Amino acid sequence: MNPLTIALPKGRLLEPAASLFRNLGWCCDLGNGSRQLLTTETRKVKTTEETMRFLLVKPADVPVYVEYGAADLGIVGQDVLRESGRDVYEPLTLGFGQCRLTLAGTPSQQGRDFRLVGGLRVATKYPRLTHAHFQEQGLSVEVIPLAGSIELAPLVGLADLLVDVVETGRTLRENGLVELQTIAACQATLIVNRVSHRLRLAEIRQLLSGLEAAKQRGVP
Amino acid sequence: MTTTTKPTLSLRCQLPHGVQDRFLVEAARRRRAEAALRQGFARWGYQEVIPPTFEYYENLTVGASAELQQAMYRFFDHEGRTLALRADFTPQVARVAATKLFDQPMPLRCFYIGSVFRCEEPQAGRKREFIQAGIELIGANTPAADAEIVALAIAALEALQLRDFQINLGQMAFFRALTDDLPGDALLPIREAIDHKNNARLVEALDMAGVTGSQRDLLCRLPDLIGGPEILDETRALSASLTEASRAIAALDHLAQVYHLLRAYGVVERMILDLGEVRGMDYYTGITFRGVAPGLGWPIVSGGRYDDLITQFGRPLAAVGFGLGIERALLVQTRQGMPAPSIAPHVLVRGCEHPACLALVDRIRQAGCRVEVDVLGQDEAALVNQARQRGIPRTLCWTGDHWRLTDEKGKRALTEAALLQEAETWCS
Repeated sequence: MNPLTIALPKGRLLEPAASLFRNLGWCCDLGNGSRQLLTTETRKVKTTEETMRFLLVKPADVPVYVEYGAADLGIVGQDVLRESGRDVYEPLTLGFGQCRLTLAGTPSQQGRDFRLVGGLRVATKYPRLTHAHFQEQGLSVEVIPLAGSIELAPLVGLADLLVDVVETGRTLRENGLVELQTIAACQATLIVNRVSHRLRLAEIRQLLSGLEAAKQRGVP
Repeated sequence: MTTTTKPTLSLRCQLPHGVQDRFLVEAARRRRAEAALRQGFARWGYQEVIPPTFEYYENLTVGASAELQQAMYRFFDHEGRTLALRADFTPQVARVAATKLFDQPMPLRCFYIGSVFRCEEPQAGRKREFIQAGIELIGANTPAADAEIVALAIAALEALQLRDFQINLGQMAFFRALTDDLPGDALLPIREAIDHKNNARLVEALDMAGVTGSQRDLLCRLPDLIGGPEILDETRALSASLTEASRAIAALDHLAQVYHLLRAYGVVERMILDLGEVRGMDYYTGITFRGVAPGLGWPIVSGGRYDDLITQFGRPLAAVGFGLGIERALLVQTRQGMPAPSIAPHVLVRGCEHPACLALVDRIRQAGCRVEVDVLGQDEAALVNQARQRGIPRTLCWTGDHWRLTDEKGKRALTEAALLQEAETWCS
């Protein structure tokens, strides 16, 4: 049978994700200087050898690879996963990469009642989540999708507010912005393709229990 | 330095997003699949229903989820009534059964094969127009009926020569018994969490709904209740202290009976019981199942029992059925290396004005061969060349007094009788 394939996210979640697998015995070397995007690793469990394929993928693409089944599993932040809206199983949060999806703006926005303000512009990398958040409150806003450095938008008048993920809050503070409302707490989570889960149930369950045990031990 | 201008097709030559042409081998693949299914369904006693491609929008939305309703292509007739292209055959077959077939001997066994239309984002194996083949068994509410449907789904996938597929069998009646006392808005996040096997969310949703005791324990276990019949024993034990214990246990017993009957069909090695299968809760009332195969991230076939639908068309009839996505099946066929059907002619014939010539060509065609007659006035050498290029195994020419056949063995002279005898072997 083909080895299981797991998509790992480039960026800040890569190292903790890779170290999780190293902790389970895989020599996961992705992202360490080489430009390789795909490796096959083997680990020895008692007398058997297990193989797994690792893919290195942009975080936004992890849910795509997993939904299509090109990867059986993936590790991705819940913010990216929710934004993608992809239909996958989410059996296990991984306890790292904690952040919060936050509504933020300049200090002048603090205390404003947004129900009374028409034509609010909100810059974000998460247009779907932002739109849903405001719609749930019955507010109609103009969402301005940006790819990065969202903090810039309210500083130069492109938007009134922004929605972004925040860890320590330092970037916002350094740009003179304040957090106005926490929308959701997010962390890294394991996702599984629905068909792979059915066809490779035993292997996936085994992997899940290994990851769960590592999580309990406080890895990474 | 050369500059290249990209040729842009005028709008006349473009297709709308999400639809495609099928021709040559792809068209043949599709029809081969349809023929295999049609034959299979007929052999199990099912008869075709061919409803119209469009109907009144309100009738096509009966039993349809909100997403499906939103995805329907709607238009108006000249009287301003809203019509829609079907997004699903089941409400149509339900209407036909309730209004035209209700006094036939029960149960009804119907099948359908045709296009359905959904204005959604196209994804693997499914465009905005895609082909669905399916069956409905109407008027029988027994484990035997459920087992027949599942066994037929398996037979259909085997008729399409798919390997390594698996069927997950669930029981919506159990989930309903387990959650009937929960109000809709409390149930929704619970069901979604189970559907995504999101254990963290499930716990949150159960806390918010204030669910405790064995109901909570069971709901927490549901995403993992996957396996063989042994999971039913565990579930029965856990269900004993539920408020709806007898309903829940009856549902499990029904599932066990279906599994037992599938053993008799000889198909249990393809089956996995899955009590966490909770999709389509508003629609399914009994068993549900999904067929998946390696090579595709989505199910190829899905179905179940839906006893509350046909009554909405005026007759309370039980029903169970499934739908199979032909494009998805074809994708898996290709990924599993199934060779394409041959569409090349069996023989290329030089054009000839002799009535005896064309009479002979007709007899070869009657024998079942695909015969192409040249209409460009090409000579034998040019035809032999063309045949080689196109992968056509043989060329035939009338020389004036005999037939000359050119194939990989070389050139041979043949009498009409000999030729006809050989032609029998070309398309066997």
